[in-house]
Amino acid sequence: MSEEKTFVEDINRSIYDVIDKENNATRLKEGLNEDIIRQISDEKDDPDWMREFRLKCLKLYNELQVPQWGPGIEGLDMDHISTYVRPKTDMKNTWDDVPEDIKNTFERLGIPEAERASLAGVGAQYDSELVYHNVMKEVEEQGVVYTDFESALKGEYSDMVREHFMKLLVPRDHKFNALHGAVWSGGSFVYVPKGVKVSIPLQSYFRLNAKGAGQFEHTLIIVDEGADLHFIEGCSAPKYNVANLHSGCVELFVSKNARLRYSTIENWSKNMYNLNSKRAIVEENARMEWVSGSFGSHTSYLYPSTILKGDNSTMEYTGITFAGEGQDLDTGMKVVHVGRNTSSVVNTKSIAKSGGVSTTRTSVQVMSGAKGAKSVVSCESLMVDNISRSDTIPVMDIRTDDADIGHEASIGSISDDAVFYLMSRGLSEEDARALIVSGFADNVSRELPMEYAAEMNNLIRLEMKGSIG
Amino acid sequence: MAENIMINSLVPPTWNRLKVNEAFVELPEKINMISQDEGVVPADDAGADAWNIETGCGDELSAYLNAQGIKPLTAAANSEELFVVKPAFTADSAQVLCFDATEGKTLNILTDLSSGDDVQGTGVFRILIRARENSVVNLTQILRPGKGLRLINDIGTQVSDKAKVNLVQVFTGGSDIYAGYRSELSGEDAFADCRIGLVRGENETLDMNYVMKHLAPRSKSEINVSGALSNGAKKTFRGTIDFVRGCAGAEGAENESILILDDTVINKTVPLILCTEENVAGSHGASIGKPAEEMLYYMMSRGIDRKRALEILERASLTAAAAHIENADALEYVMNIIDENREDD
Repeated sequence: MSEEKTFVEDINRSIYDVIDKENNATRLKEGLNEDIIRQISDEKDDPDWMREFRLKCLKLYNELQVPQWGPGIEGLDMDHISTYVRPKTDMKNTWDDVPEDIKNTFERLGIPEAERASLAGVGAQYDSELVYHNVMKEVEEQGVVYTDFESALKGEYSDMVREHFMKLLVPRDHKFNALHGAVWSGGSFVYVPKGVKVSIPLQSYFRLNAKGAGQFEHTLIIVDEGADLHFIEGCSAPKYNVANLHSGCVELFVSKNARLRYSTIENWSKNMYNLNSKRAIVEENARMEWVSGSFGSHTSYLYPSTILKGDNSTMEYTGITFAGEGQDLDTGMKVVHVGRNTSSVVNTKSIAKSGGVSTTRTSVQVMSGAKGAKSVVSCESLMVDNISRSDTIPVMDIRTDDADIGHEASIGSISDDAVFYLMSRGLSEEDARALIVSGFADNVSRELPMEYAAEMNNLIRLEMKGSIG
Repeated sequence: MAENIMINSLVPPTWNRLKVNEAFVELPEKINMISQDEGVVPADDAGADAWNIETGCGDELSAYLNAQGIKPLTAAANSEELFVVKPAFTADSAQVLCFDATEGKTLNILTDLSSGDDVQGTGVFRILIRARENSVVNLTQILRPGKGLRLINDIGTQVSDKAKVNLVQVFTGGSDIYAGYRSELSGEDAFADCRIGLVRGENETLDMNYVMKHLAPRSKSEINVSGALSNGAKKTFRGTIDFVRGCAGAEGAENESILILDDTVINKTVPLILCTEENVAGSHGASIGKPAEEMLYYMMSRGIDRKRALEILERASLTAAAAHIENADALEYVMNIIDENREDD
């Protein structure tokens, strides 16, 4: 079969698994205590309120319990995680200025090429800090702010940042929000002014290179009235034999009549604990769209959530999860209908193979004032063999008589007839099965920009390799 | 001292804030065994052990009943004639009945779980069923406790090769009800079918946990729930289809259709599909909301006022389940009660 060209080049696992040496990086010692939190604040020259905030979050972290309802995270020992690793470089706005080894890593991942071809701005984070950030002049001239989070925290938009930071994802929500509040570093701030339509996507790419480290980037996006944005998030890491941790937070504010699409292709290494939180609040007549592909990590807890606060606000979630050998991926979504005439459309697909565990967990809540709410949820699961596990755990909580709620879920296997038919057309069994799985994932890939869809299809093909016999 | 026990646990659990992972009920310090005059014999200790079948409400309820000395009564029913059970609930009382459907036989059982409004307290009723090879058990339950009786209705079944257990439950009015059902489909081509009709109002709670555990090849299960909620009713339905490795060719389906008739209700639906077997087909569908305006308009155009139209839809929720009652005597019994209730309204 011919290899397909994508912006991540001829994709193969080795491009994700290349390990750079930690050249004189600043690495705080492993574990979590007040001294470490203060050191992070010193490193980042935090304003006073943020210093206090971090310490309060640490206290909360120590008080809150590990969730009892999801995959086990016994293999994650915070005493052996370094929460801050700063590469020996500051942030650059041309790739030529980025240190050679780091630049080469992002070149292999295809980020500069993607930027040249199809992105309006790129932020590239390496371990705990951004090493590259750039935005197209035309987009800047529209008044769009796209910057690293630390600059936003201290610059012209500091009040806006303070007003919104961890207001949607409050630290008390759960233990790992509290952890994030204590040790966050890096990430992006985006502000799209009223009426501005950003026609080309912005992208942040998060690369965690350091062994036994955590990455805790914070993404805050505010799309003002009538504005429009597509934001893409990518992430990867090389594989180590010790646990790494990703606990980012994404807070999205979608104002009246605005639209935000947030696309993610997550391909963390299989030693990664991905305990990530994402939440959007959507005002009147506004629209939130999530496109999510989860392929990597050892253990994932990932449920982008949406609050449809404004009347006539809408949400669409399209997601796929592929759990292979050694992976326990607990993914899904949450939506709360608050305003009148709100609607949500959810389409999830999950694939489990080679002993992987895929759990699709969803919740739809319709509050008593959400008159005219409509929600349609579809969850489809595919079992590729009989050593894997696939669970679907949906909850619907409906509190109004004026709602129209539909839910359907199904689980099944690859049809022998379909495999036989494709093999009769000359495909090997392996390719036939890979093609069927790609077709199963088609609704997600159709929602992605072409080059990311190609990457996703290649990831599926890679995951399916060796699945026969 | 009253005991607070956990029942109807969701396995695996989900987000705690949704408050669907389990229900807690406070049970009395002392509960009395309800005697059954005809057709049953108390199981001895060895016999009681033999009826160690898991149920929907779960282990904490079993431990409570054991500690209270509630002995299983083995029902002698073993013919197609309808076996009617109408436990005489008094304040804080319990009964456990066991049915052994022998190979190739058909059992028809009707339980009418009701009480006078003067009965105050907690009633626990449990049925354990062993459906042996090629047997059929048709279990019909009507649940209509009086206002003062909180009812816990709990069922556990083991279904062998080519055996079939048909459950029809009709919940009408009454007080708070906790209902558990668990079917262990341990035989090849075993089949468990649940048809549930419910109408709840007047701040009543209905907390349900239904589990279909597919252990054997080609086993099949269906859960169908139709209902109407109004006037402060709170309903939680947990339905789990669990495909265990080795149950190749198994099929499971659950469907729920709930009408919400006003803004005071809370309807929670939790339909799980768990799967460790490749070659299975599982599905779930739910439809929750208000009655279609077109349908109401049509009925009103035929001279039926809106209130009466809604009553007809409520009744249809019950009769949709009752239509699956196989035994003619049981069907007549249940339909009479449904119509009686509607006339009372």
